[in-house]
Amino acid sequence: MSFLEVSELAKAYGDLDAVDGVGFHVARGEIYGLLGPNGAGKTTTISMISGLLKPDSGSVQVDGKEFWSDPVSAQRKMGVVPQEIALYEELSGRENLEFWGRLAGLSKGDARSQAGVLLESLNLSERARDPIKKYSGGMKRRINLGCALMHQPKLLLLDEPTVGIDPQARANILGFIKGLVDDGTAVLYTTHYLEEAEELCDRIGIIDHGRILAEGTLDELRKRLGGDQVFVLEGEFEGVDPDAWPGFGDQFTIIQETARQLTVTPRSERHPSECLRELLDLPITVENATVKKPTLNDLFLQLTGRELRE
Amino acid sequence: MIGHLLRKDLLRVRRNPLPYLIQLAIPICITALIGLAFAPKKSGQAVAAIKVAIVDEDETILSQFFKGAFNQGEGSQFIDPRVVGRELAMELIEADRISAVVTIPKGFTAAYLEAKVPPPLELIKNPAQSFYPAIVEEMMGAAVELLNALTRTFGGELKDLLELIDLAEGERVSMLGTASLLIRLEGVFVQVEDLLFPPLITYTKEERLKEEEEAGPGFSMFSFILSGMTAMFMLFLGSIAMSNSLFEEIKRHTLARTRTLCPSVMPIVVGKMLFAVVIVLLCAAILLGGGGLLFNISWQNPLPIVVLCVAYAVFSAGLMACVAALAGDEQKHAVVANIVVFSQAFVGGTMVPVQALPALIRDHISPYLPLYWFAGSVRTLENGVGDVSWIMAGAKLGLLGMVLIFLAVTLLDRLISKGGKP
Repeated sequence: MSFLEVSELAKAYGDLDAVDGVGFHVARGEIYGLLGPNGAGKTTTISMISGLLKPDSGSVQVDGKEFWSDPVSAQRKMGVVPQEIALYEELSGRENLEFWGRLAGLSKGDARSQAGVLLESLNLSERARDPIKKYSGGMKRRINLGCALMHQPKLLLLDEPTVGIDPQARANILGFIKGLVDDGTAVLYTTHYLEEAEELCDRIGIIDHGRILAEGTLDELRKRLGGDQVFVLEGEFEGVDPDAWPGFGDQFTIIQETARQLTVTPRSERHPSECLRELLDLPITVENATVKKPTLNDLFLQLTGRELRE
Repeated sequence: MIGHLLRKDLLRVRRNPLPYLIQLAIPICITALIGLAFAPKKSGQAVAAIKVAIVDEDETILSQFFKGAFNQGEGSQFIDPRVVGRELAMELIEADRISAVVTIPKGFTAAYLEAKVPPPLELIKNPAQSFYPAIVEEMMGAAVELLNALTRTFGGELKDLLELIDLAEGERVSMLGTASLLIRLEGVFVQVEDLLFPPLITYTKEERLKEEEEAGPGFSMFSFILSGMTAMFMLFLGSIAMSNSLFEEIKRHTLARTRTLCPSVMPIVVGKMLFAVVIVLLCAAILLGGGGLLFNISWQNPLPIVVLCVAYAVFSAGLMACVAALAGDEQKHAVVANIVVFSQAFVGGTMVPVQALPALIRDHISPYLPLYWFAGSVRTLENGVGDVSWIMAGAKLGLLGMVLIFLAVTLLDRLISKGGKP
């Protein structure tokens, strides 16, 4: 059963549809990734789920109950990790944890003991008394995550929690999140890092311009491209018309076409050498040809015509 | 929840008190500077004793009289003379340890008594000081007038009198000469008696003191300045409290995070308002209490002042919260808050006493300003200056403060609900 059920969520700012009919669900023990470029509507979606913004339409159900029918109860079940490091720099790591714990309804004693547990888990016990302003970026990110976990929420909303940190700190945080999921926590994870989504998420929704363009497991999404191979041809393709090539459209799907590059995927499973031979026989001069496994970026390219990082 | 929010804000202030300490140090420093420049060092003294070096190069009985005159009667309260040599006097004035040097030149007495034009008394003023040397100059002018009056009145008798007093040891007094001098002096005194002893002064002195004691508090420069400074900086502290607790939290996204655990904005807003009130009250306690200790001010009416402080703190927090909510961002808030505070301070009596302002402002604008209600009523209570009733002022401040807080809560609720975007 889904712990978080989002359906037909919409939010507009004037003429701009920030979120337009977004729907997905997250089950206990599942990580659902919302993958999209900056400005795609990820943060607005999380803001509506966490109660920071009221949606224009649509619904958010947490543990089977409509969010706005009892927002306090819904918020107590979720922990929100904002994209920014939302901590009090003057206070120590422990004080921050205890403050957010008390705000989430923990007693003084519970907040103290839970802060101790989290500091231990996040490997920050030795720096617990230091003010946050003396922490490194990675340490701040870990405390930022810890503050959302003080009341042991069943649903964790993570809005790009690894932005701006080094690979090692990122690996630590991703490892910690995987541990939470093993305990049955439902996780909604937004990111614009393809690798993170591919490594961490059980299911992924690709979002752009406020709409979910595709959704599924990594394999399901790859299959949408039609195969497990992507061919990248480089050359002078200015003015060429692939529709005029006999049989090309039946055998290949174009993912991206530029003046210097043509990215295609075969429509059916065939041996790469066979596909490559057919591509090199096309009436164009190919300077270089590459074959690779399809990525989420290729899917995003196919769906939107642009790179995810653009 | 409000308690947690308030405790957290106060803990943040404790960890980073610098912005608040600066705002507390400024009024204390200004009060000290202005107070030390103008205020008395002892009760009842109009100005602090002026340090003057006297260089006596004449060393006659007249020059000794002149030196002694500085130490006589009430003059000793205002002048602190020190008889030194010329070199030491110049060193003292260069070291800014005295306000002026008065030199009695050699041959002054002889020329004076022989009705010749004597070499001029020399006054060197300390260029590093402004008021005190000017006062010494005025006193020198008066002394010269006095000497001129003496020669015109007593003429030859003065020379004989000084010779009589300055008799060398073992020299015999001429009884005949002395009797003749006394007769001549009596004649002169009789002639100028009405001018020398006009029926003025002494009999009213005791009564005037009693009247002053009964009339109310004495004037204290420090308490006068400090009450105005406190009124101004309570507003500034209210502004900083709102800025630090609201805009910084919006900027750091901690406010948004708070809202993920608190769907209603109202506790957050009430927490911010309470924080501002507490900070402003602490400011008042430190400035009036600490400043009082520092400047030896004995507050005569502590209870009314506490009531006024509470009412004014509510007003300050409410006003600055409204300004913050309407401004919508930190920079606009800083600009608008400064304009609001400085305009009130100028027109309300912090910078310039209201009595010194143009009639239009003094009579038609100042009386309607909350800063004037507070500072004016404290000054009425403590200095006997003005006629602002503290009960009325407290009631008006409290009422206006409550209205502003209600308005601020509504405006801030809207601002925070929109994520801090105006």
